[in-house]
Amino acid sequence: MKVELFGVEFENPVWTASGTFGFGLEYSPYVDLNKVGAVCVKGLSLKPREGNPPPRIWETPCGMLNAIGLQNPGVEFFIEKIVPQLKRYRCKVVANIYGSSVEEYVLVAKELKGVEGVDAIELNISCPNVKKGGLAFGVDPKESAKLTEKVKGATDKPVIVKLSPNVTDIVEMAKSVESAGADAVSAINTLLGMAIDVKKRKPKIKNKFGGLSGPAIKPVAVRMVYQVSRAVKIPVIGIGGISNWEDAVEFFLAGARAVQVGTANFFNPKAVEEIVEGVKRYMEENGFASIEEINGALIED
Amino acid sequence: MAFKVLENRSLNGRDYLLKVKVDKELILKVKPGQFGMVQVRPSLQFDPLLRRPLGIFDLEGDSVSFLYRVYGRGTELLTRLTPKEEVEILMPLGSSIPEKGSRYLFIAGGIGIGGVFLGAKLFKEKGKEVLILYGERNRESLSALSFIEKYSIDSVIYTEDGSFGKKGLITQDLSLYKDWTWIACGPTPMLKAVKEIAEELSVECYLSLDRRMACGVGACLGCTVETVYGYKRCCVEGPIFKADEVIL
Ligand SMILES: Cc1cc2nc3c(=O)[nH]c(=O)nc-3n(C[C@H](O)[C@H](O)[C@H](O)COP(=O)(O)O)c2cc1C
Ligand code: FES
Repeated sequence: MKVELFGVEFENPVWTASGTFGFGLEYSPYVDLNKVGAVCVKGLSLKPREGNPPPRIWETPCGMLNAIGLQNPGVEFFIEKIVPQLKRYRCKVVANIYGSSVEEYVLVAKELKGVEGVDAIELNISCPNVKKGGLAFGVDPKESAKLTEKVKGATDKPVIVKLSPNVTDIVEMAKSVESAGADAVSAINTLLGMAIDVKKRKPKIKNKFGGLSGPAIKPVAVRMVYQVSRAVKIPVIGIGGISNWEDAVEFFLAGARAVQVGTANFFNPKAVEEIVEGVKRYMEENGFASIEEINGALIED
Repeated sequence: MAFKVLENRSLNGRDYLLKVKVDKELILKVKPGQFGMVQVRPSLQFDPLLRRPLGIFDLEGDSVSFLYRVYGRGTELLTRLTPKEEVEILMPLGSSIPEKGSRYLFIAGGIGIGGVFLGAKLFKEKGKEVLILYGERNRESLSALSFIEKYSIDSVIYTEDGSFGKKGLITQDLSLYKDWTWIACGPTPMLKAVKEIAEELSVECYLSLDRRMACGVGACLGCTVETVYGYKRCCVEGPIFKADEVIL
C-alpha cells in the first residue's frame, strides 16, 4: 500500500496525528512502528514549553477535550535525542511545528533544515490551546499564506499546512496556503469546545476551552476534507475521529490521499495497524489498485 | 492486549473485584504500585471513549486483579463484564513503590487501598515489616478487609463513624510511625495531610496519585502532576511520586 506524496514514499497512507502518539517511541512497546506510514510528532517549538496547567483533558460523548498547550522539549532536543531513535524504524517522520510569531516558525523550520530522518514539516497553524500564534494564523488567509511562504523559503523539506476547522471558510484557507507554496494540507485540527462542571460551577478544563477530538468530530472532518480536496490540487491529508478502516475509507472517498489517526490511539493502540489491514482488504475486495482510485470513486448524483 | 475475565464481582455493592487471566511472563513484570488502562466501552461503541486507569490490586498464580469503585458511567459499564468475556487492558504501566526500605507503612484512604495493597502483600512476602492503615467511612465500605485478612497482613482499621476498628481519621496516629517509609493512596485532602505530616516529621514518604488519563503511556501529556521540578506525567513518572516533590 505504498503511497507517494510530495516526492516522499510512505509505506502506507495511515499515519499518526500530532500530539496523540508522542514521539512514537512511547507506543513502541505496543505498536510496530514499521507498520505506521508516518509519525507526526508532538508539536515542536523553538524552546521547550511547559504547557498549560492541569486539568488538561476531559472526556465528552464519543470524544474528548484537550488543552495541553503544546508542552514539548523543543526542536533541538527532538533533533539530538529523538530523531536518531526514530531512524531505526521504517515509518516516515513528520515534524509538526509551532511558533508564537512568523519569525519563530521560521527559526524552527531552519533548525530542521537538512536533518536526516525528518521527512516533512507540518505547520500547525491551528492549535486552539495557546494564547499567541497557533490559531491566530489559522483563521486569517493572508497571515497563513505569508507564514507558509516564509517557512517554505527557510526549509528544504516538503511543507504540509494543518488547517483549523474553527473558520468560516476552510476552502479559502486551503487555497490561500496552496498559492503560497504549501506541498499539502492536512485537515482537521480540533474543534474549539468547552465543558462545565455543574456541581463546582467551574470549567472542566483549567484553560476553560479545549480542542474537541475523536469520533464525535468525524462528520465535520469528512465534509471539510471533501470540500478542500475538490478546491486544491495539492494532496489533502484527512484527520478527525478516524478509529477503524471504514472511517479511513470514508476519508479516502471524500478525497484524502492519506489519513492521520489521533484520539483512537488512546483507546486502541492497535488502531493504525488494524486500519492498514482493513484498508488493504477493502482495496482487494473492491478492485482498487491505489488510494487515488478510491479518491475518484465517490458516487454523487 | 485482550485478557479473559475470570471474575468480576461486587464486594459490597459499590466496590468490585475484576480478575483476569494473564501469562506468567506478565506477572513477573508487574511491580507494586503500577496500574493498567482498562477498556470500559463495549467493543464497536465509542462511549465512554477512553480507557480507565486502575491500580493493580493483586497477583495470584496466573491472574491479575483490580479493585474498583463505581463512580460514573465508565466504571458502571465495567461491572457488566462477565467471566469468559475478554477485556482490553494495557499493563503494567507507570512507576512503582521503591523497595529499599525495611519497614513500610501503607496508608490507604477508601478505594486507595487498590493502589497500595499489592505493595504490602509483596513486601511482606519478602520479609519486610509491613503495616496497613486502612480508613473508610464505615464498616460496609471496607471492601478490601477480607484480602488483608486472607494474607494475614498487619493492619489498623479506622472508620469515621466508629462502626469498625478505631473511630476517627487515618491520619490521626501517623506520628507513631516516624521511622517507617510511608506509602499513601487516597483522596486528595488525605494525601495533603499525609504529605504535611511526613514533611514535619522528616519521614520518607511516597504518594500514589490518580489523574484523568487518555493514553496511559506518556504520549498525550494530559495527566499532568505539578511537581517542584515542573510538570510530570502521572502515567510515566507516576503514579508513585515522592511526597516532598509534588505540589498538591
Ligand atoms: C491530546 C491531543 C494533543 C494534540 N496535540 C497536537 C499538536 O501538538 N499539534 C497539532 O497539530 N495537533 C495536535 N492535536 C490534534 C490532532 O493531531 C488531530 O488533528 C485531532 O485530534 C483530530 O483528530 P482525531 O479526532 O483523530 O484525534 C492534538 C490532539 C489531542 C487529542
Ligand atoms: S495519560 Fe497520556 S501522558 Fe499520561
